[in-house]
Amino acid sequence: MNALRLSFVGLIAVLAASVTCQVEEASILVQAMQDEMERTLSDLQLEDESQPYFISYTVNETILASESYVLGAQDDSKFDHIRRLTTKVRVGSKSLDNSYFVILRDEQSPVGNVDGGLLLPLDDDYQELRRSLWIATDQAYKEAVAQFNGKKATRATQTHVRRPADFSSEEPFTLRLSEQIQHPDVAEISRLAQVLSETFQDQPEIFVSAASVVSVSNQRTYLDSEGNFHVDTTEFCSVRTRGETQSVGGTELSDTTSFFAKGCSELPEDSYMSDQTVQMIEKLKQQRSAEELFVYNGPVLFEAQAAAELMNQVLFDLLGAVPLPQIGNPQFDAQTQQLTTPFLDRMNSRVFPRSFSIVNDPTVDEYNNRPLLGSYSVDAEGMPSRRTELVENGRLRTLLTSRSPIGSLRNSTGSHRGLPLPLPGNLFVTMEGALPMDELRAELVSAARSNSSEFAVIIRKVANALDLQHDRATLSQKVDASMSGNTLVLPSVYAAKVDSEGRETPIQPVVVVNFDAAYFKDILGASEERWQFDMPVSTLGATSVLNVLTRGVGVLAGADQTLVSAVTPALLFEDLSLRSARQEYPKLPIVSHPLENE
Amino acid sequence: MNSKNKELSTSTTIYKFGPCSCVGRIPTQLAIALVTFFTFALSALPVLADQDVLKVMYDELQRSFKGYQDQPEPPYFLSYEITEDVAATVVGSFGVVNERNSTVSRYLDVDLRVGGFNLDNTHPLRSGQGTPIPEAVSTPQSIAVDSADALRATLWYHTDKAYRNALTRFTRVKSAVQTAVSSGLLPGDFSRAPVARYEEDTINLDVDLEEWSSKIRLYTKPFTEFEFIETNGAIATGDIETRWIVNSEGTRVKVSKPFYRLRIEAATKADDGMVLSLGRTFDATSPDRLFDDEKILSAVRSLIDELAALQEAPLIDPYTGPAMLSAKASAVFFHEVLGHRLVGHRQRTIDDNLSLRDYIDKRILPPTFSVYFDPAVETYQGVELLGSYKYDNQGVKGRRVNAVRNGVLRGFLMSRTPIFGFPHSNGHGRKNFAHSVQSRQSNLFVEISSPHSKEELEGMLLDRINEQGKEFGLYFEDVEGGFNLSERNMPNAFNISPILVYKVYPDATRELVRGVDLIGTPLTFFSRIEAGASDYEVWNQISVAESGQVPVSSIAPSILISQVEVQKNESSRTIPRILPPPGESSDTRLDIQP
Repeated sequence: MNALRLSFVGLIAVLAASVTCQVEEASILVQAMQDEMERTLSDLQLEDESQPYFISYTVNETILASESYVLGAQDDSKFDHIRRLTTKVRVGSKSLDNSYFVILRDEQSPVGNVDGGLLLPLDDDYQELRRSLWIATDQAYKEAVAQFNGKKATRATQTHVRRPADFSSEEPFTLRLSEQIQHPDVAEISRLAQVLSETFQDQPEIFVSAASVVSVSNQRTYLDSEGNFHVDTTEFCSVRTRGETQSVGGTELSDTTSFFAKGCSELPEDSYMSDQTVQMIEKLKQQRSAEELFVYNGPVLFEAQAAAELMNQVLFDLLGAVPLPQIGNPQFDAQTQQLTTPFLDRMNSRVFPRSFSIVNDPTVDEYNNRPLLGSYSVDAEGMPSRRTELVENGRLRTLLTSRSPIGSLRNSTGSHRGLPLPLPGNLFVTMEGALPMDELRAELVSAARSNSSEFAVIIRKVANALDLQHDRATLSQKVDASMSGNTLVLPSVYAAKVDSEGRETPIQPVVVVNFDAAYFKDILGASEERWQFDMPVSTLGATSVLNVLTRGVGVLAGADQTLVSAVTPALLFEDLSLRSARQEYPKLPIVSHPLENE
Repeated sequence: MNSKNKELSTSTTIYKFGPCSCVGRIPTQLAIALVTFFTFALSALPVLADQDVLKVMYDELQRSFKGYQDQPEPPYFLSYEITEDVAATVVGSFGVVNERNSTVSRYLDVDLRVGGFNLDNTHPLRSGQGTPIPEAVSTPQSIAVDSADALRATLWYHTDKAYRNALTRFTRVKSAVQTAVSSGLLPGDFSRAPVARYEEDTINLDVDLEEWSSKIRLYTKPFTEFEFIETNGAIATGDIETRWIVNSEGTRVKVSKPFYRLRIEAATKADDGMVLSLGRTFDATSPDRLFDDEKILSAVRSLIDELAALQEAPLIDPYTGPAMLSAKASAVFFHEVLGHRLVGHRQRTIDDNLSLRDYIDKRILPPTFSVYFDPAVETYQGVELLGSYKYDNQGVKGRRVNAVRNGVLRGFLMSRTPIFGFPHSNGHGRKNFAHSVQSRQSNLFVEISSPHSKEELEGMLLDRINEQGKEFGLYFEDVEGGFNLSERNMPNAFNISPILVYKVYPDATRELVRGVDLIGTPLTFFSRIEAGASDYEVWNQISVAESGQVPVSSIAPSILISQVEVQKNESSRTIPRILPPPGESSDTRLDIQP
């Protein structure tokens, strides 16, 4: 028995003492994971190759139910129950191992293996669980050995570059949240989707409508060879009501009202969601006759959801840092360079005005007595979540990390949320000297006047990528921008011109031209009032190339349950360029809506 | 979600659950949740009576069609097809269940044409570089059918989109036609078809997920007894596809078809690392006909035996010489090599290789061979045929097509897209949702006018081995499918993937071998078919081509071929697993039970 195995047995003993199994089924799964891991650490080795020095098993048992209705009738229904295993094997040592090295095969993305995992039995059959773990470990180990040899060979041909270790050393962490995985009340989900879809009845001005409810229950069981262990059960429920129409001039207009909760039983009252949907319908109808703004240069105020969504689309991906993947083929070097985390080179530099601070704190459960949906206790690598001061007095102090060190960032911030880039949980943006809303709006008007503009612009809602799933043209533009290292902020849903007297005139969707993170430094002011928005982090919304290319797998498995909460003030930018969201629009439908004359 | 549940209407989808089984380890809570789910969520809420769907579709179609007639370029044809899929699946392996899922989906396809029958917006286009521009696969448009308002609103919205797309494309078509030299191949873009009126009841999906889970456990349990089997999987699927079709010519068709399938697979590795996999597929139109325990367990045992034999089988080198195809292998061969070339749309444009276009009324098979397609036949010798249907995806009644009579090519499978000499549809316009209709196969029948017995055919194989002075011939027992190349810019060739192949020596002894593909060019291959037997077998399959996945059947007897060619196949080769499978129990197990 080698030293590693001794340490593993020791930690399992600790684990055994600390774990109070609530459910017999879970104990069989954990037992199978422990036993196969122990056998692997003891015996798994190819001749003349290294043994694994680290193994982790992550089992996600997921029950997904979704219902979609149109005008009171069901158009789509899904139910899926799976248990998926993801296995990580590291060979070598913490200073140099197989991680972040890609062996290109025909079917692989050039930025790394997207581990879709292996289905484990739903039945708690010890022997078959062991068999699946055995097969997955064998595959992962062989792949790790090939990667390690490739990485060593590639490094041997390169000049010496000072690199941090490949894997961080962390204190073991165990956690068992005792809840059982919850099974969705599908009848209730169905009923809710139906009721909300009926809100659009008798609204022929809304051309397309739908209401959908998605419930995802997930139990993650994590075990690794360093003694990290957790069983974390989460519930996620999302409700979306959506309407689409066209302005009288043809501009395509759409809006989505979303509600997220940790479980469908925690959603707001039906009447509240219906009322919000009715308000959305009325706003969309008003928007049909809104003015068109073709081009604008000047001050822009992002209020409420728009400020949070701006953070989502521009900042979230920049706040996470992982090493660049190395590819065993020099022709891809240029591509991998695009994956650089731009903020890594901005450490201790000013990235926001001096009065700004940004903190990520997933350990906080509530803000103003409202649950923060981005909170979590333990991340996907078994690391406890923790508070991280990211921006202090405008200067970037650190970035969010996983257990893969990069640059001067040597330890995990507990931010591995199951996606390639570390992500925030709850992001709090504060500004010293923030102004009351009315004063900030006055500041906006004043800035416009200084800029010799006849008016200024307030943006109150920006589309979220998940809400534009059917708008291929816009999403393609966003992906294309990301692939070429640019950022495209999705079109506004609601925006208004503000004249020198403070009078507002609604305008049709606009986009910010070539928005860049550097603009954050030029924020003129922020509001005292802060809003909380909970946002799903989807593949579609990914800003970085790395996330665009590698997030794909998670979407079907319910990865949209990854929520980030942002608590942000309104943000006043001194000078942005806006233009109409689309240059060409289809004409209005030729034949009248079938319900128009009824 | 604080409102009380509404009283929901009658369930139209039957899902049953037995009492919770401890062996199955489905907790009561889950069972209740699933029962609730499958009772309610998969049931249509019949706001709109089932029989009224066609009427609402037709009324809205007429309203829209008339509404566009005062446009400068009005549509001359409009059709709607709604495809509803109600499906449930249980997946398992090695005696356990891995996944249960279910879906209800409803998709709309709109076919709106501007121009006229001779030239319309669907006319083939080529890029500036001369390469063909395929018609785009559209995004599936989901649609609800249980509410007249929802149905009408969705039809209206997507009709307008389809009209704009049609106008845009037709402008390009007219421009292309004016500036390009005509290939002289196209007799028009669309053909007239008789008005069809047919309606049948929606079939209910009958899935007892608990029973299905037990079946999956039962059928996959035997694989746990054999260490050499590395992977194993079984998937049981129940699927009811209901289609509503209306068009501006007056056609109104509704059909509903059940599809139940069980597929069991297992794989092992040879000593050289070659991955060897075998499978068995069972199809039926009802679950009680699908789950024949005795038959399935017997098939599992034979699969295990074959896999064990295959693991020990030697590799074979490239070979040319005489061969015999079993009835199943022959059915696959005729589907892949002949059937895919008998579809009319592949004889239509200058980008198709037109390999059979000039063979009309010429011999392509031995005079004793005939090939016909007939979607109206539902069973063959008690076996249900997947390729049967009443109406195709253009609302045209499926008709028998005598493609080859006494060895002579007589016709092609046709959708409403005409080709020279074949101006009308014979009810073979098929597709999966969100695809454009193409001519596709249905039930392919090979008929031999003077068949030999299988034994006689085997004797003839030995004769050919001796006549050609070969060390051995080949017997293809089982094949798994393959692929065809039929575009003009590619070799006109096929590749069939055998999974059970035997060397047959002159003394009639057989030796199982592995590692080859059957390759060739079709017309040469057809010319080398010598004779057929009377041992017909059915091969049911989901066929994949330009218009998506469609179910097909092929029925053929064993055949003798004077010369075949095989080449080494491309197969995954990895080293065997490093550790042995985990034992029943581990000495190192730690007790962390409560």
